[in-house]
Amino acid sequence: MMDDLKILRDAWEGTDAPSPHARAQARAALLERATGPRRARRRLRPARTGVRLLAIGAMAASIAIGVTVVQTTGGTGTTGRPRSVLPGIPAGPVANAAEALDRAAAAADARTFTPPRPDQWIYTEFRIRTSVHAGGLVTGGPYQTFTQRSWQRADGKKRAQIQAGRLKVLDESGNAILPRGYFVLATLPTDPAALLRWVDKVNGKKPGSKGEPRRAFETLSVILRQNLLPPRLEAAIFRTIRTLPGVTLVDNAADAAGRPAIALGMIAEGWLHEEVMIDPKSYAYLGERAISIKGHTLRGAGDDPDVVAGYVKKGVLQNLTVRTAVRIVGEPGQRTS
Amino acid sequence: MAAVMRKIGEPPAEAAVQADSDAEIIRLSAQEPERFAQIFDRHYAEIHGYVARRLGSGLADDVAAETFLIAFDRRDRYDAAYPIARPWLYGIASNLVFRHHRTEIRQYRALARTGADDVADGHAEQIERRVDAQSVRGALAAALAAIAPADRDVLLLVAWAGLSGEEAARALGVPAGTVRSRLHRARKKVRAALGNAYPLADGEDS
Repeated sequence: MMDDLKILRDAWEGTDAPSPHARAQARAALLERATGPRRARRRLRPARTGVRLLAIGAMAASIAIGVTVVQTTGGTGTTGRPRSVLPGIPAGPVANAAEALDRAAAAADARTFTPPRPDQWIYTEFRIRTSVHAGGLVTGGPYQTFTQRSWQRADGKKRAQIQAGRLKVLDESGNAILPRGYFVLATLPTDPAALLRWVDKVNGKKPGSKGEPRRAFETLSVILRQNLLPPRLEAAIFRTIRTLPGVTLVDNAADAAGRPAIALGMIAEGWLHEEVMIDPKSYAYLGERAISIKGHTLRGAGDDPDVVAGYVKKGVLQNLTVRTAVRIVGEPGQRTS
Repeated sequence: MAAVMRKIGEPPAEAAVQADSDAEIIRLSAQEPERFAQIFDRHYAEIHGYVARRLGSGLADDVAAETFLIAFDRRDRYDAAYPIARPWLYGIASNLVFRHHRTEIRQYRALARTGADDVADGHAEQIERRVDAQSVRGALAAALAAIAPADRDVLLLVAWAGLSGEEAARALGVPAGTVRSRLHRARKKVRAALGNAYPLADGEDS
């Protein structure tokens, strides 16, 4: 049989390599976007096009994505009044984001906690549900879910992951924008105002300018998601999110992995709600979710911004990241303590 | 000399990082954006070459650069189940190429008339080697201009970018069955064009 594909390939063989100038310009443009101008190298830059979701990578499995109205009660007592499951934290549904975050902070403060030793490892496991299309938005499915496992030494100097079925231990490079490791994180301020100043500084806020609440929210979400935190810092993060304008409560949040959730989030780009999920009974951190809150037409980049590349309907889940484990273990590769 | 030898024997300090999969680099780039430069270093030349075939090298400079900026912006959405980012990058590049489809078709039509483009003219020493393939280039270019854009995307991702059908499906975000039918349609036109250019070859081979 005639190999038409080979003929087609051969007919265009020998195309010029890109000019070094074009390559250098393209690389510089990428690095500029990645790092910002030299004076603000440490800055976390927001995406200019497309959607930024808080979840790193994608996981998969069959996480049930149901929508439930959250009940924050622990059942009703003999008097018929709602009974709280946590001492010192009021029972009953939360009325707004501030109340939910207050309870999450109080719950974190009340948690018993044994800090890791520097030579111990933190095992983190996520299940992520997202589009099957690499780099693509979910316009209505299909979804993929998978599990992502990683280990980080508590001193922040090493990390480990499974690669091609084998455990791989790597040195942590020193150029992370956000601090890594329990002991580094334990030095962050636990006063909400001071923590927000630190976040704004990490995000490259210029002195005297207004901080960007959404970037602060995103940064705090990442720290919450990726780390085992001292309870005081976790409480401080919830209290800091409480001070950000624009954080709203979603009263019918996702049912993540069978668990109902309270979701607190901010609107990104006018159509996407990026949320932190907490458990409606224990107020413990559950994960993150991003969902379209109104229809959104995706327009093209390049020279023709009017080309419609797709349409996302309202209420379409874009990403669900459920943290299924964060715990201290003795060695990389271990999943249980 | 001994010092040099020892140095060569040592693994480079960055060896561990270099060995990371694209997926891992993209994951880490969420918190360390600079790492994304490695994705550029690995794939830029190839993406540029692909776009240059479709749009010419002038536009390819812009489109290839834009491909990596868009990829960077969407890196949080990268599906970590796939260690190699090539199909993802080709998908982004394909979408950008589509925005220049009039230019693309103009270029094929020009090639259909002349059988050679500026690129080929600039490489006299290579032309002889390529003369057989070049001689059918005009007929192929005419066929490419006449193939529906969605079909052409699949055809060229397979023929020029060397993606498998499955990878092309992932790149374009369409089901594998759709890719198969698009490829089938496109190849019929390519074969028809080759058949017209070389009736003998057509008779022997198909």
